[in-house]
This record gives sequence, structure tokens and C-alpha cells, in this order.
Amino acid sequence: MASDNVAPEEVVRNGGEGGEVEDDERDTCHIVLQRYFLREWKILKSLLDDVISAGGVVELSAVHKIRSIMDRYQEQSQLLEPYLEHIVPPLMFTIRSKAIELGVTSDEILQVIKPLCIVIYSVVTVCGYKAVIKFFPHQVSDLELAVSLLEKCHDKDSGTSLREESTGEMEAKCVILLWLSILVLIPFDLSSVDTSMADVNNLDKDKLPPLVQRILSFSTDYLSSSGPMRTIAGLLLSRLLTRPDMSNAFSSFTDWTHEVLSSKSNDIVDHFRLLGATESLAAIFKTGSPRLLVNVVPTIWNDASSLMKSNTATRSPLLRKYLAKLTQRIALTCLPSRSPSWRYVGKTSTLGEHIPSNFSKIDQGTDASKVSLNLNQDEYCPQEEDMDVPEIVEEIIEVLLSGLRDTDTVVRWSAAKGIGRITSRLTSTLADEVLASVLELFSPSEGDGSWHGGCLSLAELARRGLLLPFNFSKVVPVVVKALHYDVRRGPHSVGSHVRDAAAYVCWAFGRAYYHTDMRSVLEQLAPHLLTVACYDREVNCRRAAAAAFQENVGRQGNFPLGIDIVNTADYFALSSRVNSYLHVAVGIAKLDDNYLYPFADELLHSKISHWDKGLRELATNALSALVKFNAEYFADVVLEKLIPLTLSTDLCMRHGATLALGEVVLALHEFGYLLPIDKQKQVSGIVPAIEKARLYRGKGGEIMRSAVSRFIECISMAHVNVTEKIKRSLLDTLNENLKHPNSQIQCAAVEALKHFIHAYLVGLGNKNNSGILAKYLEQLSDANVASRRGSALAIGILPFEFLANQWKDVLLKLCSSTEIENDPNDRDAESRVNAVKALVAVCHTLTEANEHSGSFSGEDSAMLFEFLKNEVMQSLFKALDDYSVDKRGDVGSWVREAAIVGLESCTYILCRIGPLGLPSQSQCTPESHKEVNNTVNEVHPYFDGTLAVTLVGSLVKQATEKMNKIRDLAAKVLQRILYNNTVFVPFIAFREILEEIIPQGADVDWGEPAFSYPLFVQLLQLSCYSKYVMSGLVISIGGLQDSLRKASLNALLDYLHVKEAKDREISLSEDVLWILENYRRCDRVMIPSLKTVEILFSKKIFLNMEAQTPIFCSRILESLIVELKGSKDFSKLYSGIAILGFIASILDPVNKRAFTHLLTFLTHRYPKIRKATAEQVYLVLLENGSLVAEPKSDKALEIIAETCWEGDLDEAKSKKLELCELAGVDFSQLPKASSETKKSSIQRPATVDENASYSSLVDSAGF
Amino acid sequence: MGLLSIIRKIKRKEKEMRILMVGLDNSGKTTIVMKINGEDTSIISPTLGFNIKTISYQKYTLNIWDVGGQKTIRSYWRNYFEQTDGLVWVVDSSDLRRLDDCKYELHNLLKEERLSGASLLILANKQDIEGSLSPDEIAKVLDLEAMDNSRHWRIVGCSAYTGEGLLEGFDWLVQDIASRIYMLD
Repeated sequence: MASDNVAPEEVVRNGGEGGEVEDDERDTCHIVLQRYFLREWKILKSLLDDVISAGGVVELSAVHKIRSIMDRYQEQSQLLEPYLEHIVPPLMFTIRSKAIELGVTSDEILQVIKPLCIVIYSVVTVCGYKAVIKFFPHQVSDLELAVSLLEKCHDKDSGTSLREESTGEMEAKCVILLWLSILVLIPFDLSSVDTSMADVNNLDKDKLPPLVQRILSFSTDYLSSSGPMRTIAGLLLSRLLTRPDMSNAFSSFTDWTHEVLSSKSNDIVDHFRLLGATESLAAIFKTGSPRLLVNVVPTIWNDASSLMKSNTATRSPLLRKYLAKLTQRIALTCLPSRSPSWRYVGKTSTLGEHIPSNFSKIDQGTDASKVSLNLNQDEYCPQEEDMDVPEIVEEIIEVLLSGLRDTDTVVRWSAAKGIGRITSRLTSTLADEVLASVLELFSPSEGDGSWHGGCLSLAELARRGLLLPFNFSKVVPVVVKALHYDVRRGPHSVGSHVRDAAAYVCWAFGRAYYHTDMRSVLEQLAPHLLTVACYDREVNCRRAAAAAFQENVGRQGNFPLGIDIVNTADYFALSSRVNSYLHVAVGIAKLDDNYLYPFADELLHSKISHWDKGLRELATNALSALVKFNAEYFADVVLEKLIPLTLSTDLCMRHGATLALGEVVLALHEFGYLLPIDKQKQVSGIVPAIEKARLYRGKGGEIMRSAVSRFIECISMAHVNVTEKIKRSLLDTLNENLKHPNSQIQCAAVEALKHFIHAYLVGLGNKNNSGILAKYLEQLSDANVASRRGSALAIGILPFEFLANQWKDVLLKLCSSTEIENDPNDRDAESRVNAVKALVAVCHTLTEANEHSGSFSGEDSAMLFEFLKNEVMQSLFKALDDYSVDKRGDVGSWVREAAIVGLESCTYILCRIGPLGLPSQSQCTPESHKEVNNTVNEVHPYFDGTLAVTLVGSLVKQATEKMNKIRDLAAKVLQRILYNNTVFVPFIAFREILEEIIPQGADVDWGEPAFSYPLFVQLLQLSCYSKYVMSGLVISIGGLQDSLRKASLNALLDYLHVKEAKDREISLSEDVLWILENYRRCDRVMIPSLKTVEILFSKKIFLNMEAQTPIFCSRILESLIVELKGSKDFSKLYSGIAILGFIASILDPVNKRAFTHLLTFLTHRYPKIRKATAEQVYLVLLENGSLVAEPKSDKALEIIAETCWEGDLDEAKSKKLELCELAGVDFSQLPKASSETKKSSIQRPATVDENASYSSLVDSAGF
Repeated sequence: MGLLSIIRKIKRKEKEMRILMVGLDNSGKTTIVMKINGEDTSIISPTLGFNIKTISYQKYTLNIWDVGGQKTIRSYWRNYFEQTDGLVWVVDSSDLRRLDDCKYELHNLLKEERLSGASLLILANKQDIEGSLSPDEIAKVLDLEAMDNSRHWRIVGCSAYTGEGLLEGFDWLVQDIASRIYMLD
């Protein structure tokens, strides 16, 4: 729970954050350049040239390539724009010429234009249609062509939407619609363009030209589409219908929209049509002249306002957005367009205005600026104007204001822009009313959406100069509140969008107002902006606030320390939350202590009680980091505030307050500030009070426990005065926490205990101390695992004074705790891990204190080291054999890991000690190794060759087993032992060879199998280590992990494929036999070992060792007979049978025994085993003709081949007897397969259970 | 719709350019900014903070960041959302003693990856003072030809006092940036 535990979580979280926001810290030069230039223009150009010269796309891959290049510029579209005239026109001309060449009626044309349209459409998605359509050809003759082309696409409209995407149908439609949208702007009467009307002479003025009818027909169709065609069709219609010659079409279209908007249907298709109609109306109101539109305003407004209240709108944010657009444009149509005289005009000047090319008139510039300043001042006083605002506008403003409250951001955003646009056409009185209504949104009863919408509209008003400085007094307090907006919602909170938008308001203020107006505002805003910049939970808010601050500082001029603050809180410094809290904030507080108090307040009031536990913990650290700037303030004010909060009813608050109190007290101590006695008393009473209030119970009790531990740790380190009674109570609390099943709480308690004992208990007399020790020792064998784990941890940190008198008891007890518990129900790997760690820690404490102060008598110290050598080391070696497994997997590996580390440090302790129990005189450097080796006996009484061999052997065994992590650790420890600079470890046999294999200082991943195995197998040559290596190796070779098996096996085979292979093979065979005999009936080792033997046999290893082979085989056979007896493990049986097969196939008398034994498995009770055996027997018979003499062998093969071994057991039995006769095997000599079953059934209750065999069966059957 | 995306959108919509004014102290950066902004250039004290001035030119909005002779200006281009489109490096053509410093600082600045695409305008200021070096001589001393050839750069002689050369320089800078990032229409 201390800061250590926060860190990794924090890093991960920040990593996530960093990913979201564009973070160009690690950008390559290439990407940076991409922000300034279109880098791939050459490639793009050549691809396009190919397409254009071929008159169409030859290869679709070119299209994908172009599209993938374009996509990279999605955010930098302005870079593409200069190239548009080289991209778009050639492609469009190709489309046009192909259409003319092939004729629009041919099917072929669609295949040609689709890929071209994909390219053009991808440009549209990057640069936007407005930029692209400027480059579309717009000859009058193109209009009919485009209409026909689109009709062709339209008719073909058959596929699903999924298909459209891939074939370019959708893109073709969009591009042609866009093309039409520019073509319909031709400045001639459309009826004169329509060739179909050329024949008909009677021009009926009331009737629309057929061409227009065609356009209208498919455009209205597309208004019901769900794709992007809907929007583009709306655009096309708006351009077409607002033409002066289209008034008839316009009115019939508005009739149609009226019908659509007022229909109350709920169909999906109808919903898209509704969207399309609204969207097209919005587009029409954007382009159309007020004179045209004013007639239809009442109907459309009626429809829109009733639609707004309907259920359909409630369900569809998109519809509400379009309605917001439509209504604001209706309002704008009703208002005269003008720039209000009361508007605030920021001071921007024009370059060149003041630098006349004729520079004789130097003073002209200054005059001009004075004039503009005067103008500005005039404009501050709003002038009342007479203006009639239509009722409809007021209603629409009302609608938009409620749009600011919308649940969806898109709607709020659109409404905010609408408010800005409409207000710019109002009188200042009305504008004030609008502002007042906007400010009403910032009330506590409103939701987060309203606050966000309110901020957006404030920013819009400010940017347009519609928010006059005399309103600052009303606006600024609201903005400040919005900067801190954060509302708890159950386990999280909302409001980051509000804070971001509030920063936007501040940013917009900075840009909009002249610095004389902004100065006082900035003074108010700055502390809040910086608080958000340092302490917001979200990275985007931190950065937004800092950006707003920077913009203001830059525009404001000499803001005090602005430049240094901007430098401290830059974009990258704020990217990590931890860095913002602990460094940026501290840096700013250091620069200017005006910020200290807002910072401390923010932490106290909202951050230490934050819902995010990690953030609370970080906030307490941040608070303590501020202490040094004003210790008195923290000692008086902050402590005063924190103390009552520790008993708050809100869990987050009391957790944060308890932690914060501890951290602040500690920081005060470190700063050298002495707390007054009464304060110390208050602080020391916190824990008993928490206990009394029973805050450890129920929900949040665990959180409080770790907080209290940290608190005790802090006050212990700060040496706060504590009465005896409270001391006891604190100790009880810690002891209680030590027994908690949650390991984090235990760790926190142990950390606290360490400091607590050091501060309050050391030197108080033995009676007390031995009581504490005795209690922990007793708990080491407690039935409760948590209390065992905790007490081991606690003993590990006890100081020398506590341990000295009873060191032997302690060590003995710990040694026995490292052993696997007898009772399976009692077994707990974590307890053993903690015991191993504690054992090593206690050895350290004892020997170190002894070295420094010589607290033990010579005799005592000799005993201690004897004990270390004989007992502790042995216990650690034993712990290396902890292979226990539970449902979490190889939990024993934790114990082994701890033991490996422990062995290393105990070795150093033993090697460092001279005969008198004092550090040996010879502090060895690697250069002096050789001579030391000779005289070493004198110097190292507690270390010898046997120990060294066991140590190195055990480590290499671990370094060749199956877990990467353990292998890596073991190898590294071995490396450190070999090359330790301060303590020379003597007596290591074959040190030179070991040093060759494990080079000094090489920092490599020893967990990498392909690297480490080839090195470690070399040790097989050294008789003293070979058994260790082999017993590790078999686990890897015979294990389940395929990659590991391959790497280790290859290493072994390579080792055997050298000149002196024979010797190596023989000594290897000895080692294998040693393993088989040593680990008899231990399946963990036996199964992989047998598997290894099987694999090696199959590689013809061990089969050509002359005299050794029969000996080896017969001993393998003996071991197999034992192992397979009653075994229910399939893999073991399979390996065994295979090995029997191999042995039976060799030409030696031992084959007969093996064969006989193999035959017994023909009647094994598992059908699968019977079958596998039969296959093996068959192979053996083919391989080795001597087992069954020539005439009979055919018969024998036939029996094996034709019997259904998986079937009835009785049949198998009779067939087996036949085979036995043929093979001349005396049945009575056979080991009794039947009795074996009986025996095993008797043993069964003793062995694990039936399920084991059943699950093994299921496994092998592949279920 | 966070502040980040808003700024990006505004920049594009209003055709904004971000220009950084840098150079050794007393080279006349603030005077140049004041001059083109039409402010009184008679009293100018060393820039302590930094100034952002918005100036319109043709249809573009120039946000000129005058960051003073600060030692640590890193954070201006390591900065918020906006990228630097143009660099103006101001040289005091009459201060012959510090031209070596000037060269060192300039080349150091140009090493900054984040500025690698920005157009570079070098203003050889104080041409009105007698004994000052000509732009060509300055170019030689600063070893401008040795720059990476992907860099768009130009050196212009000017006088912040008279205003001579400023328009020419800024005109080139704006056109160069615009040809890269905005459609000329």
C-alpha cells in the first residue's frame, strides 16, 4: 500500500493514456517530416500516372496503396491540398472520357470507374468534399453524362451494404453525386441544357425539365440511404433547389419534407428518410437566400419543433443534431445579417499595414494603433439599437439552450455554435439575456451535459467577441467551478469533459481579449488552471489546462513567473500522472508559493478523498512533497483539518486522510520540524480511535488496515511520542494485520513493524521482547496459514536484540517451517516461501550484528556458524526440492526461487567468516584465487568442498529445469557466486571449466533455452556435477513443453555427437540409472526420465555401448518392472512399453526378459495400453527374429494383427497365452498381471484416488 | 471533442500559422514584432516572458511567438498541440563578436527534430547600422549552405528600425508555408 505498490499500476495506466493522446515524444524524423510535407508524393504521383495513362485501374493493389498513403494524412489534410489539382482533375477526366468512350449504358463502364472513384473518395474523406469538388470538371455537357452515369449506378444497386464497400459502388455513387452538386450550379437555365427537351418545342414553363426530374428522383431516393450518400444527396438538393429557376421544384420538395417530417412512422428505412429530409433542409437553409426561404419558415419550423418533442428525436442523437442545425439556420434566416457594433474587437493588426514599402513614413504605424485602441474603448459601451426580434427566433434560442443540455456531445456542440451565431445578430440587451440563460446552465441541479454545453457556448461567445468584459464578474466564477467539476457516480466519476471544455473557455478568453482586460481575470484563473494542470486525474485535462495557461501567459505579456511555469508544466512533463503530482506541482510551488495553498487545498478537499484508490495514495505523497515549502502551515492548518477526517464516515475520505496524516507527519519530521506535544498526542491517538470506531470491519476494512499500517510506519519513522498503552495498542494492530489473509496488508504491516520496533521497542528490556518473539515463533506452526505467513515475515525483520538469546530456537523453528508440511491439508507454499526468506534474513541479522559488535562469545559464534553450515544450508538445499503443486500450478517454484536467493547470501556469510567467527582477513580479489585455494582450509572453517559441490550442483540442476524464470535466476546466482568481488567462494571444483561456461559479466537471458542448454550440457563431463545436470535435464527433455524439449534434446544430442562420444554415452547412462534408482516411484521425475530414455533409445543412444549396453538395459528393465507395477499413468505406461520394445529388440539375452514383460501388458486392464503393447510386440517381432523362431513368427504376427486388443479382456488373455506358447515363454514365469491388478486395488485407498487414473485416461483419450 | 481537436480544427479553418521568433538576445526580435504590429518601437526592454501576437497577413493568421533570449526555449516547440510552421532567426548583423555564438545556437536549434520541417527565415537585422555585415556575408559566416537540403530557408537583410526588408522576409515565409500546407486558391 506504500507508494511502491502504486507505481507499477500507475505506469500501466499512464501508458494507456499516452496511447490515446497523440504523443510525439518518440516520433521518428520520418513522422515529424510527415507533419510538414507530403512525403510520399513521388510514389503517389507515379501510381496515379500509371492509372491515368492506362485509362483506368489495372491493378487493385495500386488503389489500396494510394488509400493507405492518404490515410496517414487524415489529421494533416492541409498537406495534401496543394497536390489536389494534380490528383483530382486527371482522375475525373479519365472518368469522363471513359464514360463517353464506352457509353454510359454499357456495363463495362462501371467496372472502370469504380476503382477510380475509390481513389477520389479517399481524397474526399481526408480533405473534405469542399476542397475536392473545386477540382471537378464542370462543363455544361457533363451534366447529362453524370446524371446518366449515376442512374446506371443506381439501377445496379442490388448488393448488400457489405459488398458495396469492397467493390467501390458506394464510392462511385458518392463521387458522382458530388460531381453533380457542382454541375447543377451552371449559370444557364437547366431546361436549355436538357437535350431531351431540344426536340420538344413547346416549352412548358410549369413543368420541370426531365433532366431535373431525374436528378430529383434519385436524390430523394438517396435521402433514405444509410450511407454517406444521404448527406451528399442533401447537399446536391440544396444546390439544385435554391437555383432561381427551381422555385416549383423547391415548393414541391418542401411539401415532400413536410410529409416526411410530420409522419409518425417508426420504420428503420423511414428513420433514415427522416434524417435525410432534415439534413437536406438544413443544407437548403445554409445555401438558400432568405427571400426564397422565408415563405416556408413557418411550416418547417412547426414540423421541426414538433419533431423535436417526439420520441423519435429522443431516441436519435443524429436527428437532434440535424434539428439543432436546421433550427439555428431558420433563426439566422429570420435575422438580418450584420456585424453588431457592440461586439468586442480584439486587437489584431495586419502585417504590411504598418510596414509601408515606402519606409519614409516611419511613424504611421503607431498612429494607426492608437486609432484602433480608441475605437475599441468606444465599443465597450454597448449601444442600444432598435430591433424587432421575431417570436420564432426566441423560440429557437430556447430550443438551442435546451440543446446545450443534451445528453449527446454532438448535439451540444452544434447548439453551442448556433447560440454563438444567432447571438452575433442580436442587440446587446438580447445578447445579455442569452448569456444569462447560458449561465443558468451552471447550477448544481443540472447534469454534467449542461455544464459541458454551457462551457462550449461560453467559449463560442468569447471567440466571437460577444461576451463583453463587463460580464467577466459573472462568468469567471462559473468557469472556475467548471474547471473543478467532478461528480461521483458510484465507483467512478464524471466531469472530465466539463473540465476540458472549461479549459477551452480559458484558452478562448486568452485569445479573444486584449491583455488589459484579461489581467485581472487571469489572476483569478491561473491558480485554478495550474491546479488542474498538475492534479487532474485525466491526462487530457491536465494538458488542456496547461495549454490554456500557456496561451494566456503568452498573450498577456509579463505574467509573473509565467515563463518558468510554462517551462515546468510542459506537454510531456504532464503526460505521466505521477510526474505531474510529484514533480511538476512541486516545481511550480517552489517557483511561487502563491500556488502552494490552492494546491494543498485541492489535494485536501478533492484528491485525498478521490474514488480512485491509487490516486488517493498518490495525492497523499503529493501533499507530503509540498510540506517543505511551509512547514508551519502544514503543521497547523493541514493537520488540524486532517485529524477529524480520519474518522469520517466516507471510506475514501478516512482512508485518504489517514494516509495523508501519516505522510505529512513524516515529511514534517524529515524537514526538521518538531511537532508540538499536544499535536503529537493527537496524532498518536488516531489509531486507537479508528480501532474504537470499528473501522476495520465490513466494507473497506481491508483498505483501512493497510492505511493504518502505513500510518504507524510514518509516525514510527517520525518518532512521534507514544504512551506505553498506545504502544501496546499499535503493536496489537500490527499483529492483527500480520495475520490478515491479504498479502498486501501483511507486507504493509511488516514494513510498519520494522520501523515500529526500531523506534519504540528496541532497548526496552528483554522480557517484553522475548514475549513478542515467542508469540511469533508459536504462530509459525499455527493452523491458520495467514498467521504462519505473517509471523515468518515478522521474524525476518526482527532486530538482533530480539533474536540473540534464542537464536537457535528461532533458526530451528524456521528450518522446520521451510519443510513441506506433513499434513496435506496444512500445506501452504507461501508460508514456506516466507519461512525461507525469514531464515535467510535472520542469519543476516545475527551474523552482521555479530561482525560489527561481536555480541556473541567465541563459542556461541562458532556454534552459530556450525549451525548455519549444517542446518540452515541443508534446509535451503531441501527447499530446492520443493516441487509441490496445487491448483495454481508449480507453487513450489516460489520456494525454490527464494531458496536459490537464500543459498547465495548464506554462502557469502559462510565464506566471509574466519576461524574466530570474525570476517576473514583475506578479502579476495579474483586475481588471488589460485593461492587462496591452497591455504583456504585455514581461512574458511565453515565452508568445504562437499558444500561447494552441492551448492553448484543444485544450482546447475535448477538451471536446466523447465521454468525459464528459475533457470535464469539460478544461472545468474551461479555467475555471481563465481565472480563475487567482495567474497571469494572457495573449493569450487572445476572452477575453470565453470568460468568458461558462464562468462563473467555477460548480461544475457539465461532463460532462453537455445542459449543456455548447449552451455550447461558441457557440465555432464564433470563427474561431480553430471548427476545434477542430468536430473535437471531429464525434466526438460521429457517435459510437456515442446520448444523446451527440442532445445534441450538438441543440446544433449550435440553433446553426444563428438569424438569421445562413447565415453560420454557410458557416463551418461550411469547418470540416467542413478536418476532412475534415486527417484524410484517419484512420478514427477520418473515420467520425464522414462520419456527421455525412450527418446534417446529412438535416437540409437545407449544401444551401442558394447559391454555397457546389456548392463544398462537390464538395470533399466529392473527399474521399469518396479515403476510400471500398478501404475495408472498413461504416459508412464506408454514410455515403459516403448522402452521394453527397444530392449526386446536388442541382441542380448536381456531381450527375452523384456519381451516376456512386454507380453504381460497385452492383458493390461486399460484397452489402450493393450493396443499399444500389441503394436510394440509386432514391431519387436519384425525387428528381432530370434524371439520367436522362423516358422512360428508368421503365426505370431498374425495373432497380433488380427486380435482386437482393445476389445474383450478375456479374448486378449487367451490370445496372449497363444503368443506365449509360440514365443516359448513359460506362463508361470510371467509376472502375474492379474495379481498385479489385485495388489493395486488393495493399495488403492492408500494411493491418491480413482479420479487420478480416470483423469489420466481421459487426458490420453484426448477428450 | 476535446481542446486538442478544437485547436486543430480552428487552426485549419482560420488558416493559422505558428511562427517562432528566435535568436540571441538583443538581436531585435521584439522590435521586429512590435514594428510589424504597428506598436511604438521607441522604448523596448529585454523580453522577460514571451509574447504571442496574432497578426493577419493576406488571408492567413500568423501567431507569432516571440520567446525572448531565453536559455531554455525547448518547451516552446515541445509544446501543446500546435506545431511550429515557421522559424524566424534574427541576427544582429552589427554584433560581429557574437556571430560565432549565433552560428552555434542556430545549428543547435536546427538539430531539433520537432522543427525539422519548419521553413526558416533568417533576418539579418540592423542593416541600418554602419559597419554591419551584408546578408550574403552573414549567410557565409553562419554556414547556411551546409544545412540539410530538405530545409526551406532564406536570408533577408532588414532593419527593424526603418521596417525595411521585413515585409519581403515575412512575405517569403508565409508563401513558403502556405505552399506547403494550404491550398493556394
